[in-house]
Amino acid sequence: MSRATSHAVAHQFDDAEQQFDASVLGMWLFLLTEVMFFGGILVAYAIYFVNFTEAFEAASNHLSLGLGALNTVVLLSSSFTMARAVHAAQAESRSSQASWLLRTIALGVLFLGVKAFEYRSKFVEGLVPGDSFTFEGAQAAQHELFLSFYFTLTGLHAVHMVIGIGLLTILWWMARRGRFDSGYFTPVEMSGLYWHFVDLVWIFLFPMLYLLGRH
Amino acid sequence: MSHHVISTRTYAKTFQVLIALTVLTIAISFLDLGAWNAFAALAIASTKAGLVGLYFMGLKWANRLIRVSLAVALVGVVILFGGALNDDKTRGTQTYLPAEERAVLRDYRVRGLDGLGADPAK
Repeated sequence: MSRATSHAVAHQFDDAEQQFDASVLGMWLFLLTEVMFFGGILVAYAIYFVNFTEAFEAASNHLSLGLGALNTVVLLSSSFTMARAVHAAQAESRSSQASWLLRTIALGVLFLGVKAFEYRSKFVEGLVPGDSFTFEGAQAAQHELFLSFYFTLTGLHAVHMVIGIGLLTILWWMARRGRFDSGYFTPVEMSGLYWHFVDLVWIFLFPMLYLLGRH
Repeated sequence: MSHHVISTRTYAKTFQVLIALTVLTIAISFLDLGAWNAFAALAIASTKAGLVGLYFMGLKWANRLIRVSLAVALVGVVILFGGALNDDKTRGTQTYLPAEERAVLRDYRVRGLDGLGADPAK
């Protein structure tokens, strides 16, 4: 298929609108499997939280509220810039599409940078589960369990961020080449849905992990 | 209506409300509300998730097929959480609990709900 016809309507669809709707539905079905994927870990977390509420609240204070809040703002901002990138594609503004995508990528990288700094400080403080776990306060085993959840959940979330940044980088390159206009912006819309979903996961992770023991 | 173009003003307002709710959830976490802390955090997170879904992900303008698919998945999540937590709290199979506490829970299970509140030693 040549580049000029790469976004023509495929023969099984009536028109471009139906083709677009099919893509949106497919993307949502994928995201729903992601809900189940994270849901399984979240339910395990919920079971331990109701059984070890006090220990989890104390362990939550090992995390930096400031950095967690900063990353929440960064990620919400990136969802806003992503929404603007989709809007720019619909409005056929090639340069602003690329620039909103670039801002989204920058915010995503900033998020991962803050996350890396947080992970590093956990290693320094001996709070990484396993052989290097040196915390010896009350209910140390439950603290270790909480931190296992912390690393599993934020780690999987970070993997999704890395994939998202990869997708956005490809989009940025395509947008600069003028591949999207109001008649065809399916990849921008789909990556936007993915990016917002990753933001959505963080919206739940932030209070679950960072805010338990502040009172 | 998949090609509904959402105004940049809607995006900006959504973003502002999301930031405000983030500040609110942090503020509430400093109050000691007992079990209501978790409830408040979950309620605010769900509200934020709803806003992201409705406005950033365009669910507000999505067709019925997508809405129904989403509703089915959310019901699945409720069953997952409800079933698992209910099981955990009533079956006495929590191997991570001390043996005595496990015995108490197992006792409740054998004797049914009537056993709740009774002294397990007897």
